[in-house]
Amino acid sequence: MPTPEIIYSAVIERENTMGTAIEEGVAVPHARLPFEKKPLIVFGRSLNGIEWNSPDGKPTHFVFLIFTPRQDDWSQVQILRIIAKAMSNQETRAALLTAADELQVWRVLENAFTPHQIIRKTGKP
Amino acid sequence: MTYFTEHHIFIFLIQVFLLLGLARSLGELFRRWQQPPLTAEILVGVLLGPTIFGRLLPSLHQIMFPADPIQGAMFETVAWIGVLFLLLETGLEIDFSSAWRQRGDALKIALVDIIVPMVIAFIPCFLLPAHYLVNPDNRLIFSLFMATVMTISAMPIAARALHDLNLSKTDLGFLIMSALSVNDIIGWLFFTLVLGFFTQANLNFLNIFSIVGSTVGFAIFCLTLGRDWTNRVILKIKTKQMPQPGSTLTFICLLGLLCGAVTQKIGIHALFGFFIAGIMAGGARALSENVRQVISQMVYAIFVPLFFVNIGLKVDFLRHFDIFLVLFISVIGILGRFLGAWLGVNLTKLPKSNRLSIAIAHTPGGAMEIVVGLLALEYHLITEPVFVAIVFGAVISSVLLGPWLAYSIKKRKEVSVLEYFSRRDIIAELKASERDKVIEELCGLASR
Repeated sequence: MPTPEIIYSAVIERENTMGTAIEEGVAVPHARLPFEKKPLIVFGRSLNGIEWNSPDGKPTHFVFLIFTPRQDDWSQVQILRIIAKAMSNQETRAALLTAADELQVWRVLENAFTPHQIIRKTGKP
Repeated sequence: MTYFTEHHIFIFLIQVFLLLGLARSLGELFRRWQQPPLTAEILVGVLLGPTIFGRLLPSLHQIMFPADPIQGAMFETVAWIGVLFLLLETGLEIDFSSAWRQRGDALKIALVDIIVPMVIAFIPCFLLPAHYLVNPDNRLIFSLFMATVMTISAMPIAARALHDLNLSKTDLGFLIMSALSVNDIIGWLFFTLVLGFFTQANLNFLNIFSIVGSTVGFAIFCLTLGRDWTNRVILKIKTKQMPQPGSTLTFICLLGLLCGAVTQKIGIHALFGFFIAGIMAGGARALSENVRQVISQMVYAIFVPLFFVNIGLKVDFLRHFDIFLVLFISVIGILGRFLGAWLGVNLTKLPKSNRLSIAIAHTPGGAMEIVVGLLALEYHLITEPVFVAIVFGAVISSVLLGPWLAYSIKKRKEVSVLEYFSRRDIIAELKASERDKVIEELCGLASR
């Protein structure tokens, strides 16, 4: 992964071109990086909420920062779709807000994303 | 002088109550079925207009929709306000700065997506049998107009489909919207010029030069200095803490009215003025997403349904239905826009996986196709059967978009989020409270 400064400027440049806040307190800032081999997602929760110029005017509580390889356009489309779909569930958002620590937050997100998990066939035993 | 009577007001209120109530209820039902509310709104007009209600219960239809010019003008005025605000809102959705920044790929896609559908539509329209034309002597201007109609895409419908598929915030969604923005600006500019030429009693070189010069000059002024001034005014409204969103809303409406009056005076339609005003306001950084949403909801909840219902009230869809024309316009419209965008996207370096989705997003004619069709009908540029075929073509292409786009997305390889996300990549309580600082904090975690 490049230095924090490089990835920060890539994300900010994309964010300033078009905001990435979606409805119900979710934001999905992202960037495509030239040297990355596979996608990376990090998550942050803000209990107080952040002003992110969201379409519904609500403060942002859940931030998914997404990095995808520059040449892989498709992963970004699919990852953003899955996150938006999973976070449209009101129970998931409520559970995330009340989660006590990192472990609980992880469990809520794991449950939310598991229905979208791909089970790959490993071939004949 | 003629005045409204109490009976006029009573009938008007009943009309609006009935039409708006039914159009919104059916529209919401259609939305749940992943279909554009536009279809429902036109359907309500067709059901309550001369096509069904007027045919089955003519005396009751006459009571509800009397052939009184004052009564007709009352609803017509509201419907026209609807279409003016629809253009204002469409302009608001155009992010001119972003489209300009993406001008390489977006411009390639948009330009090819204008030229190809025009060529595809122009030739067969020029060869249409004379009985489909108002005046066969105007065959050239008719074909030029039809070619222009076929280039204008339905940006709001594409935006809605991208939103429903959770694609609106992706780079793919952003590029689609940028290309559609450029397409819309050029398409509308071209259409208003064609209409402007047609409506001139004496069309000579000086006239043409004057209309083209003033229209292009006005558009350039609005998209440069005008946009900057608009941003400053909206920022001022914000810093002076004037009531929101009311004050900004009033300012944007005034801007629409002013630009509409200017374009009408230039000799092109007021609709173009409202469209340009929308782009000026939409490009203002000071305009919050929330205010945009308030304007959008107001326009789509009240004004737009009344405009589309009014279309069904004006025209007898059964009498003027011509299956050949409907198929002809639907096929050349969808095929032309798809092929145009497909060829355009192939000129870019975009990955192959996204090309089909971009081309599909350009296919709906939607509301904009109907608006330009109605203008042409009112200016006696097209016949009623051609207008009915345009409406069908617009609805068919809009209905197809959602499932077609969803199919193009689904057939690609799936991605599993949990493969790229672990327990260590979580901050349960962000320290930062501002957007940029939050991004910085998360970037620190990502690069660890």
